[in-house]
Amino acid sequence: MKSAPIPENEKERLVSLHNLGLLDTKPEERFDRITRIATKIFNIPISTLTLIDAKREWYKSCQGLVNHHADRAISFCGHALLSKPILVVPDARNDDRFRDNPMVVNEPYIRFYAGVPVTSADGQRVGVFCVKDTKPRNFSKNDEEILKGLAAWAEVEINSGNLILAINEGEKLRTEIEKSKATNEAMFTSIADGIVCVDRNLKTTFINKAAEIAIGWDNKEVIGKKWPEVIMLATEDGKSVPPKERPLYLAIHGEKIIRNVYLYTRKDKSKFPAAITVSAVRVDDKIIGGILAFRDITKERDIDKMKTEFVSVASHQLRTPLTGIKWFSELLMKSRLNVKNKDYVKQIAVSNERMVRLVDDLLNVSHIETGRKFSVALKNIDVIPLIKEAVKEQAQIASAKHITLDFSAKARQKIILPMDELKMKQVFQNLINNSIKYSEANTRVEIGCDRKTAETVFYVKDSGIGIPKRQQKQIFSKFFRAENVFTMHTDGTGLGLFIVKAIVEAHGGRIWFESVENKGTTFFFSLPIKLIK
Amino acid sequence: MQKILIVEDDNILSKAINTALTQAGYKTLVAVDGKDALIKVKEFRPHLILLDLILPKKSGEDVLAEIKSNSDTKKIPVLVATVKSELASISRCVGLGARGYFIKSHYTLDEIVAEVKKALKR
Repeated sequence: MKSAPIPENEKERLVSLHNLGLLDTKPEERFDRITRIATKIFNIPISTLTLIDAKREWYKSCQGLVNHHADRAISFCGHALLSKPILVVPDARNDDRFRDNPMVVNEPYIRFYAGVPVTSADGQRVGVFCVKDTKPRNFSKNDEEILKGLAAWAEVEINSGNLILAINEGEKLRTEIEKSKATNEAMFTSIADGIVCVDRNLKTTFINKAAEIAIGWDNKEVIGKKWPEVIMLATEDGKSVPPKERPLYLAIHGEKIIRNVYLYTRKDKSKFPAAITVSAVRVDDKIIGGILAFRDITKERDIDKMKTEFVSVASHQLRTPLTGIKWFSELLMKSRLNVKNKDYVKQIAVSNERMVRLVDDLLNVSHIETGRKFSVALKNIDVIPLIKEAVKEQAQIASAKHITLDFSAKARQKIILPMDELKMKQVFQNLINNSIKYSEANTRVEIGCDRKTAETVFYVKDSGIGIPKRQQKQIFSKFFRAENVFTMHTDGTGLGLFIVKAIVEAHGGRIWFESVENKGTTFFFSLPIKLIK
Repeated sequence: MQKILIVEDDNILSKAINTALTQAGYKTLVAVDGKDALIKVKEFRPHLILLDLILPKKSGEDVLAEIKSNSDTKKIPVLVATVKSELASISRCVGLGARGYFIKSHYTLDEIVAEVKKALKR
């Protein structure tokens, strides 16, 4: 007798078998029906649906046998398991593999066997559908086809259990999803910020209570509508935002989290400033929609304004007596005093200076001021040598980066304008230095000027990294630095352009720029040409 | 002797600056509000005006505008000395024709006298 070899993937096969959850369960009509039909069709005494585990063959369904399992070592089905599509043994006594098999020589005296393997949904052969007889038999091709058909039916029944399991799992999952959806909705509803969800086409899919109240539109009026059709969006200075520059559009098209302040228009056409945050909703790295959170910041703005005004008025009120103390300490220092008295006056002056600085800092924080010791004293000056000096001072930094500074003035050309010499030099230094900083090696920075009737326009042009369009509005703000400068690893305080603008405006001039990201930036500023008489 | 009109409503500050300019050899006169300033500009005919901005009756900016729009007085250099430090204020005064703009609490009397001297030299 030969025992059937163990399949190569026995471990996986056993896992699949156990996952079916059929081993050692009670008989079921859905299987018994098939074995019964098999005995009738073939007019044969024995038919089983056999599952083969590590040690034994076990019959999930069985006709014509007393025992419902047998040792795997003597299993006919063990052989059939490895015989695709079918194993037929017409007479076991004439077959070396089975001739001395206990099931052949003893009860139940098997002589004929035909079996077809059955496979689990994940492709493992877990058992065999078979028929057995105590007499030898011829099994026609037609018989084989019928047996295969019955085996296929058994296979469907075996795996339908899994289907039910899968349906149950799905049901559980659905409940979980419902639960988390309900939690999310409750959370969104209770949040004080407005929350709006849109799909990929910007159609509104959800809007919370806070958003309804803020914009004056009802849930039902908004759901299913495109969000840009619900809310008119404008920048803070009142310009309407084009569809393709709206934050939700940008988020859905892959921009990272966007934060900004916009003017929203309510249902009743009134407007309010809204601080918004927008991000994309991603599933498997695919953007399926966007979420917008916004907050009406009218109150914060009002409080901010009041605070600024208070600080401003209070500080200005303080400056007058502080100046009195400063100036009289100064006069006192010049009068005849002994050493001790002089020291006392000096202490008064030092304390007073501290107070002056505190007031400056207070005003500085309120963002409307120029900062410490900002003043201008105008003189009529030829600007050409001043620019040349500024260029010369930046030349070393430029050549270290292999950047050419290009300023060409006509011979003996003079441009005389009223200006504060030191401050104006600072403007050129700052702009040239910025251009060098934000340019790649082997590029050019061009400095030039253009005389017009009422003003002279100066420019500093580079082919550097440019200023991201979204951030161009903030470029002159105090402490502002554009996102893309951080990748250049350059230092900077974010104060340079703020100061430059302050100086230019103090001269009665204007400053502006043209910039394309990754192409370059040109800063322009104008100075009035009216001379001091 | 060069004449300077000090327009300053705070009499402690005007006293200090008056003392400093007198010691430096200038002839001075003090105006205490905006209207007073415009009258004294005409009567006193100063070589330079030191102008405060926050003034009773007429603001310093209005005074500056009137001085600069009157052909008799428009050539007189005006230095603004104030406690206001808003950029917009600096910008407006320069636009109106101020020769300089100083924040009082940042300047010593010596520094102001020096600025006056510089402005008169031109």
